[in-house]
Amino acid sequence: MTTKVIQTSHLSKSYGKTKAVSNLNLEVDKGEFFGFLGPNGAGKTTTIKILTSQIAPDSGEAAVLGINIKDSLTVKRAVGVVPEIVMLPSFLTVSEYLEFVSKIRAIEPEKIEFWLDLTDLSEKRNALCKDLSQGMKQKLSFAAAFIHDPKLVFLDEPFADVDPLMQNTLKTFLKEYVKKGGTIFLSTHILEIAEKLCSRIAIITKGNIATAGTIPELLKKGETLEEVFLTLVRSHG
Amino acid sequence: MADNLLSLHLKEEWRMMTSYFSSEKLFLLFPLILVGIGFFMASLIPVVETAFNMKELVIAFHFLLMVYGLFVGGFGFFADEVAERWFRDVTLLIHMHRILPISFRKIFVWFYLKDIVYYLFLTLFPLFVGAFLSFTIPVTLFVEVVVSSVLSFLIGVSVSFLVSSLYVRNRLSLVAVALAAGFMYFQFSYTDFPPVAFMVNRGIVQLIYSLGIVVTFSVISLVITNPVTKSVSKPVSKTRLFSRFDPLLAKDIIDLKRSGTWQIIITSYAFPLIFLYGIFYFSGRLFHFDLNIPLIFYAVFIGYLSTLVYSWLNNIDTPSTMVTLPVTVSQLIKRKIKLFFVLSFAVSILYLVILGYILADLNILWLSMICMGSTTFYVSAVTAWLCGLYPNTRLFDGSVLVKYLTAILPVLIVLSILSLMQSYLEIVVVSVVVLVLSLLVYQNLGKKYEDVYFS
Repeated sequence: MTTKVIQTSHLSKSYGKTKAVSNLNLEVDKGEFFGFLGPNGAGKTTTIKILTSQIAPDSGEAAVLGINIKDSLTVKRAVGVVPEIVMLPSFLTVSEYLEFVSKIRAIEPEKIEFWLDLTDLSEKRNALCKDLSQGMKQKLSFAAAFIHDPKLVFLDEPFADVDPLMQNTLKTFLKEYVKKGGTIFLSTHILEIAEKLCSRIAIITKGNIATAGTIPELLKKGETLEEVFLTLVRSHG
Repeated sequence: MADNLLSLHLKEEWRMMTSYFSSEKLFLLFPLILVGIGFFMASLIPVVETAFNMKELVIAFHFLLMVYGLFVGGFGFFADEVAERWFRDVTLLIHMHRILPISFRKIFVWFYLKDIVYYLFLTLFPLFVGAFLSFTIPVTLFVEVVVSSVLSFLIGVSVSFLVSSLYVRNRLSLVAVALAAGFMYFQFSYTDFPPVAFMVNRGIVQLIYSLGIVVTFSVISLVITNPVTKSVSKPVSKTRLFSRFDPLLAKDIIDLKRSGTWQIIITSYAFPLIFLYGIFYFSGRLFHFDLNIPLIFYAVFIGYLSTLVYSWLNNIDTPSTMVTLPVTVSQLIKRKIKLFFVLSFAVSILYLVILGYILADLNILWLSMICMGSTTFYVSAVTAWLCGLYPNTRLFDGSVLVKYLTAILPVLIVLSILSLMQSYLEIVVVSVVVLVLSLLVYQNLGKKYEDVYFS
């Protein structure tokens, strides 16, 4: 029996006259590596922001890990997020930031060393966050998202600025994490990454799901995932 | 290309400022309020004229505008980082020299002109329009005052720009600037100030002289100003604050220390206080009577200035860094206020004691502290209530500004008048009432921001 860790019903959100998310219905099972694909401006980041209680929807309902997204604090306690644009406190050092996040999440800071090693940030532990490169910021954000061992993590373009070596390390970690029962909600433009990592994929255009299914199911609609993606996006104008 | 850059800078400024409001109409409320203030002030001229010499008032007005220009023009300190300091989450045209084949100087010239145009049209001209509509000033005199006071403002801007640019290049150059200022102070009278001389003598030479100062200082500043290069900080030693304090409070203390904002907070009181003290000091010299301003009057002003501390605390780091963490806006505001109280009281008391000593008014220090404390409580409560974590931008919202002024001004005016009348018992009563009001606001702050999102 599968457990739904994400459920949305008729979720909508507009910015002025622009509909970012329109009547979105989505379900993600526990233990899935769920890929969320779509062109620029399709509504991927807005959906993640709503599901992680960063912003409120205009209408519709949603729950993550069985928690109503209106309960912002409980949602944020339960999940991990690597945002598309990483914002870190300018004047905290790398290790202080992880300590800060641990304190905020009321957990012991024992995992800090593990994450500094995994993300190759040990040598930068005393550098201020404002002095880090984009890639380092992304790695630190990755560490902060997983430090409390959440059961569900949202990743919004997490590999955009990370070098191939570190991408490989992080992908291996993510596969292990899912094997152990964790759930990943991955938003990405890189179709190869989605194809290699994800167990199920949804393609979103103009704020709504155009199609969803496992890789074999999607490949029935085209030769490659890229072809399926391009056909769908073009047909939706 | 050139005029295009100016219009692009202006459009960008307009879009950025209006983006902080729910509609452009609300943004326009700000200059409209200034029209009202200009109208009100000019309407008082017939009354004020019976007590003061008009010429001396106009001279004082010119110096006020020059000081305003001094506050506006410190571009040399920030150069292309100016926008990042003030509006952290945006990237502006001024940064484009980093990636496009355009020189920093070229883009900065138009940024400088844009800021002048922007301040003139958004703040000075509405005041002039209001004053004109009062029909208390003859048209010819009005035109002369507008031209000469705009020149005073521009001289203030260009002097400030030059001094800040020199300071960034070589700190010792400030000694030369101070010597030059001292020389001018002792060598010339107020009426020698070129814009004032132009207004008094209606001389074209003084007009050219004023423009010459503005252009020369601006050109020198633009030539010597360089883009600010971001320096990488040295590795810092690990703090133990997280094991001693609540993490949000610990983070704010670290931010305060490492960003150097604690120095800005201490000195941010100094400039307005020196300005206020200077006005009374020069008023005494100019109008030939002693205003005899008591310490309690300054205490009210200091209490009001504490809003600056709250603004700076919210300006060090963007709240967006908290958006994915299990932290609420209301939690963050409460921690900021805790730190704010400790900081503002420490700094305010320091200034009160120094002023009490200078004014030989230490006998009413205890009453001044009560007055300062209640004003601080009240002003910060109102600011936090209306602006939350964004006091620097929300106060530009016309509707917020109206509410802010409606709540703050009566209290400040009443306490100021009582302090000038030296009505000590009434001051205590008003202070207690204000304290109770502040507590009520504080108690409801949490509820107001409970379900508010960061974005």
